Amino acid sequence: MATKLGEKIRSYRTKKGLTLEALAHQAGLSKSYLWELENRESQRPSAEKLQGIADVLGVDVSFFVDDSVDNPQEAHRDKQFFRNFSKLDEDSKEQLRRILETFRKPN
Amino acid sequence: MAVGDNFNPSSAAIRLTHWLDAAEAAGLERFPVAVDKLALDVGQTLKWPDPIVEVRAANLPMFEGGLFHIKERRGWALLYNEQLGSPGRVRFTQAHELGHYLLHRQQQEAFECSEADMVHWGPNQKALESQADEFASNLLMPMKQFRVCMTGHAIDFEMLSEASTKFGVSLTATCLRWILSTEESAVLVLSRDGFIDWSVSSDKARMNGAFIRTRGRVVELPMQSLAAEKTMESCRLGRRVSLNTWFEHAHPDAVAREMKLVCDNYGYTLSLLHLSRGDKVWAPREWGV
Repeated sequence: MATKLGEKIRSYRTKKGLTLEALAHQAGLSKSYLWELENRESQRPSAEKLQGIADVLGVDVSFFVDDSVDNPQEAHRDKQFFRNFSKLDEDSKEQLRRILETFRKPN
Repeated sequence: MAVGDNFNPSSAAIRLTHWLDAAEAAGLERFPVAVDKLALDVGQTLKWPDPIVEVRAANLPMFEGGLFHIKERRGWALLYNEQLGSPGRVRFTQAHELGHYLLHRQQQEAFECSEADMVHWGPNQKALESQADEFASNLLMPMKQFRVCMTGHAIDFEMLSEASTKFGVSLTATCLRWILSTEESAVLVLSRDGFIDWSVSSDKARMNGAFIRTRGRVVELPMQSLAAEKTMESCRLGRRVSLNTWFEHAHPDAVAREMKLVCDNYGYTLSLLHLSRGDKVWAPREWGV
């Protein structure tokens, strides 16, 4: 299961046309470490490692910092089943609530 | 809940499959299964007090699908993202949510009462998700019709692609359906960027020791495999490879057929290894201390 961070790194890497191997090499990381970062819920990498990746990709390291705080409370507001709930940002949750609101009135 | 409607993933799918088979006999198109229509009918047909009253697309970032209770309508809304992936994946998502409705809608209390603790909530959620997937796979690719597609000659990505078109599901879902139901010895591997993301073995392959552990480990593709050959795009019908390329303890003369399909738009490669049924690849037992 990839994390948001992993997906971000992969998408910037592919936009730049870099292979996993090339990015790992230029950022001074092992291939398997970078692969794990992109594809697994692994340990949080150090700021230094992230900075190294950001430098190679030419993006600001803040792009990799996940500022959305997941609030599990939200998950129980409505009776619902969710996949990837934790990945949904506030904006989408709000839109979803609005969509559901429109269903509440009988047709 | 009506008596006798205590479903498990397979029995729920079989019930719906019988209806769809009957509808086909009456002249309706059988495949791909029209999940949206089925979802709207199923509650009424089962005479459940809380049918699905809405089936709608909701194309929100990172949202795949969901089932929501609409108190005011005494029913449920099934939402799915129609822009996330191929039509086959969308259909699978719809069927997955329908699975939650048939199997788990009584259990939402459990979510309501749990202490808003994602860690605690996680494992249970995982089990429910895999049940919903199992239901979806059974509904969209019923075993009777699936077997008919898969008989005749040795398995390859051509056959599997044809079946995925017929049933309107992704190739990966079709491959999984095959690997989990076949009596052959085979291993399915999904890899990205030269490393194995996950792998599933058929029963026979597992009994013969042919499985690849990826949980908690980072496993690079074997050097000599077709999968690792960067210059090779795809090899749908497969090529013979030495079995010990993939499994180091295999007999040096044993061969397997390795098929490869590069899925560029998704950034991964599917590999299918077809082994001889008699080939065992267990590591030799280490005796002593």
